[in-house]
Amino acid sequence: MPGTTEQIALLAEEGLRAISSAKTESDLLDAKGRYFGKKGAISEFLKGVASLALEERKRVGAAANEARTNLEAAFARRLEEIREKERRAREGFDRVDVTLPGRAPAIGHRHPISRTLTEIIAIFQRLGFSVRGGPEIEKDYYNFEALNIPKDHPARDMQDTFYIDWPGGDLVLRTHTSPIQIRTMETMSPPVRVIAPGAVYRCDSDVTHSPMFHQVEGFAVDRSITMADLKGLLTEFCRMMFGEGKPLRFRPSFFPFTEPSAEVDIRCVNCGGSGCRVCKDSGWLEILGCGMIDPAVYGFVGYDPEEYTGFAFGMGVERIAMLRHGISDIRLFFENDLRFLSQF
Amino acid sequence: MKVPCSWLREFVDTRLSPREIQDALTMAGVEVSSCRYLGEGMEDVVVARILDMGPHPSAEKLSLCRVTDGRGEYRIVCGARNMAAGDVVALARVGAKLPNGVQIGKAKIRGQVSEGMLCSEQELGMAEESPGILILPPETEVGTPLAPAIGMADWLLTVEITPNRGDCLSVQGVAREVAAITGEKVVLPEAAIAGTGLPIGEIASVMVTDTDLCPRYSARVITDVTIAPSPLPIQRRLALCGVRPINNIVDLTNYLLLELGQPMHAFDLDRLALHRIDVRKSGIARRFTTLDGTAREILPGMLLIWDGEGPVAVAGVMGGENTEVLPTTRRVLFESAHFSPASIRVTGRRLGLSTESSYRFERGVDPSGTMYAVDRAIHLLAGWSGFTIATGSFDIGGDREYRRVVPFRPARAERVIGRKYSDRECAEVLARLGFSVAEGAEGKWKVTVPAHRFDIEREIDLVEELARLSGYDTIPTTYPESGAPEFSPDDRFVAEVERASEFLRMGGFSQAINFSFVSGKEWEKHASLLGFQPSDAIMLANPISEDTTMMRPHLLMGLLHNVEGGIRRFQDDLWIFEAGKAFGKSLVEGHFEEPRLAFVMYGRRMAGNWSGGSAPVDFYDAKGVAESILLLLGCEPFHFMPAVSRPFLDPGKSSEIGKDGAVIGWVGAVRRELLSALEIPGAAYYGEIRIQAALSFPRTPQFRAIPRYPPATRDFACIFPVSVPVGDVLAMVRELTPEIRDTEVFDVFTGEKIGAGRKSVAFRVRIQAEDRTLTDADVHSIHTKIVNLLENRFGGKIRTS
Repeated sequence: MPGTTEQIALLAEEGLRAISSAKTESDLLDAKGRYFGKKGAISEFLKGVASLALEERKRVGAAANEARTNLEAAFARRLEEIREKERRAREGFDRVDVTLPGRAPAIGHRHPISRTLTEIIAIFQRLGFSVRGGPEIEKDYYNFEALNIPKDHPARDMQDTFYIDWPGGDLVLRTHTSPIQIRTMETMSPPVRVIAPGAVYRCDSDVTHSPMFHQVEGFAVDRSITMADLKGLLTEFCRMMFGEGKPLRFRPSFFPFTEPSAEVDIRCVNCGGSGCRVCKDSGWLEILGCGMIDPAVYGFVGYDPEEYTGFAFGMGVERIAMLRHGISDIRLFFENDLRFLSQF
Repeated sequence: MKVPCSWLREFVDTRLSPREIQDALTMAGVEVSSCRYLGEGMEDVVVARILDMGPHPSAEKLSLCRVTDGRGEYRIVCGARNMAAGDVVALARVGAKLPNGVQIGKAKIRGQVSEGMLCSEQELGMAEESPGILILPPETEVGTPLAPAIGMADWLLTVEITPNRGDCLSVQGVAREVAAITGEKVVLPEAAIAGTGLPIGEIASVMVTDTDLCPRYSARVITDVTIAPSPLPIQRRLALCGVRPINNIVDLTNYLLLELGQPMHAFDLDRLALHRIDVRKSGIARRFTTLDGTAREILPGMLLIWDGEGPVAVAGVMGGENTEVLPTTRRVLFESAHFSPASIRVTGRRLGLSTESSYRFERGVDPSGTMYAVDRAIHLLAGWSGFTIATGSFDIGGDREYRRVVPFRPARAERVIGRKYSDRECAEVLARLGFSVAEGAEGKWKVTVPAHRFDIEREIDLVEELARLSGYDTIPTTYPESGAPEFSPDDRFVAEVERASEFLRMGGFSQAINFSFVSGKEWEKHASLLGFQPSDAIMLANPISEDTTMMRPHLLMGLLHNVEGGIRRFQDDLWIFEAGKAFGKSLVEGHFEEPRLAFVMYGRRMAGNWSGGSAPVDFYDAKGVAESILLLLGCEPFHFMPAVSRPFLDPGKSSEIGKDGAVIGWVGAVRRELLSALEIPGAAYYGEIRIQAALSFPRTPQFRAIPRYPPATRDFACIFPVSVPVGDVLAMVRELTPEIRDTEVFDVFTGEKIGAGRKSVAFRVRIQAEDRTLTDADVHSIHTKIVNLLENRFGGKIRTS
């Protein structure tokens, strides 16, 4: 008969094999039952050595304890392994798909005109200008007369006007935001510093003209405002609106309500000045009109032109939005096609 | 306006190149939008003569030409028919590249070798289309490059003249600008003539009755003239400037108009009754046929030119058919006048007629230049053909001083521009403009301005001249000192609308901007559905199209059309909003305009949500949006009430929103009939808010102690008749006792289970005291009060599960 300790070692070896080959928790429990549980092979074996000498029993007992401890440890390790494996398998089913869209309201889109308009207003508010609105159905007086555009003057041809069918016929859809200059100065004494955004209307429709479009008017009147200030302000505005490194040029022009008047060109945003289709090969893009408020205008609002000077400027929001976003047809702005709007 | 550079150089012998002229003028305020070399692409084309020509042996429509460029001979196959042997033509030899991009190669056309091409004006880029090849005058020297031979070795400037600069509407005017920029001299062209014929007074008479509208009228008469084509170079110049050559006399007046900016007219003297001219207003309405063959309705007060019998021209606008120069004309009266700009403008506008002449008179024509223009015309004509000049001239108003004296202070320029201008610089710039300067004491100057500068009347006009000719680029950039900027209510308005827009955008709405004008026709068609009274609408007097005749009374139709468009583009979920004005008539001011915020919801409640989002939007979604916007605008308290006067909304599924007794908005399902009319298949919900009425001054929240004692909650499920407004129920529950803090509906349903005409409403009540923990008995007592209220006041029946 082989040595009893050797027999225990054999049983322990068998037990370890059973543990390591167990695939599931129940296989493992089964192995425990068979080898080192209360009725397992080792216990049964020990029952059979009761007749041995004490010395021998002690030796066998110590061997059996050691074998059990080893098996317990292997059992615990294997159990952890199996549970880990099962946990992983379970998580495989439960796991979230991180690529599925989150649950939130679909965010809508900003109209590019509104976006541009808001930006322009914000810049001027930071530069100390305050917003003023005005009516879109405007009196001839505010839209023309008081802006030094008399009836029967060729300057009226500069803007094709929509007239309202109205007794007396002196109501128009404002052709520019400039009437707000008059309305503001009528009610306020200098200093004034105002930005006036809004919809304006001209009887004109093609790829670059819309019968309704948007303008931002700005003006400032005080005791010592100069054309150099106007240049400084607009240079700052363009830097904030279009970014650094875009030279400007101020070109003499004509508006009935400013003198001297200027048109402001910015270095073509498309070609950088080398000439392209967008700038019609000139390298420059006209972005706004401006000038020193004509003394004749002060006459209409009761300001003393010897005491006060001021400037005014106006820009087309659509034009700026078209330049910034590379849009070539103005009509897209008013079709409200979501395929267009969703790009902004 | 087109200006050939060669013509410009006759007036100012400038050192500037054409490109430099373009830049200089543009930066001085006379914008040159294009500067083009006319001979572009003609470098490889020469003048040649057709030696002989015959039919192409195998192509009926082609001919075979033998041509010479003076050195060699070439065989050319040609498809044109307008040429003959001996004609001088434009030959593009093999290797040439034409302005229209065509590269000429040696070719075999139907078996015949062709060693080049005979060019048409179209192929040379000179015309949009041309009937045949270009035939040159027989004296053109064969073998020379084509461009100089036909006057195309020239540059053409396109100049945009602002309405204040009528003085620049001529070659001379543009030349004056160039000279003012460079300091070069403007040449006054020759105008010397000698009258040798009969005294003018014996063959014609001129008077001006309405001198206020016609301050000056100059005229001369020539006799024994022969009507013929004008010289080719003249015809070419006219053509370049967009004027069709007609005959020597008509071409001459057009030439002078382009050259000096001085409109002129030539009458056939023998067609003037009594050989007489009078300038006076029409006293009555009459018909008059202008030389374009159109009968015009002349109104009383329009200025006319009369002969001894009746009108012969609409002054400053267009001559009459009855006295125009004919091939048989022998005696011509040339006139050049000055008319009141406003009078010409009114007349032209009423007649719907704008001519080169009226365009210039409206903007101001030099009154001091009329006699000179007539003399210059006759001087030029003398170089073209023979005639006799009657002795003397008429020059009514010719003795007046047309120059103006304008005060000027150099210090004022500095004050306006923000840059120092020395006295020397001021004097030098003004002198370059041809103004004469008298420097006065204390920096007060007097500047004499020539008559052609209509626009210079005030000191500020001189400041502008100084600034633009010294260059805007010499003005420094400074920053305006700030006077205290004032925060206006409009700043807040803009910010609030912006906030509401941002909220809507985050909630899934995209922003639309529709035209403020709509189709009056469409509104009338759906008048009853839209609640629209045509008499309340603001109409445009001159709409640009049928779709834009009326100012919109509300924003619904625009947004519905946006939905309709989206559906056509296969989009299922269309949540769109717009912030814009509505317009209408009002008792007080006559008309009103009012900012509105409107939205439309079409499609699913939660588009793009992959689980459980496919339910369609309903009234409560739209109401929730409206509520949120109003809360955002600080508009509390407001309440919802059944809509009574919004016919475009379904009366069973819509609400008006009230605040302080006023209606500040409406929300609900768009009427099915209206949706059907626009072919919108599903349900659409709409809300519109009157922004100004909803905006209140923001309330400053006041702190209340945070409750320290625990709340209790009780749920109630109750069946009510459907007509019971749940909002009223909850409001009364909340008022029962102060311990009731909050109510929240968590379920509403109807159905067979609870019987027709009833609805089940489940809600939770939060009960909490500020000063103690409520006992079971307290809570029970409140619970009982609520049950009593529900049952006794609202006919409710508590459900037991």
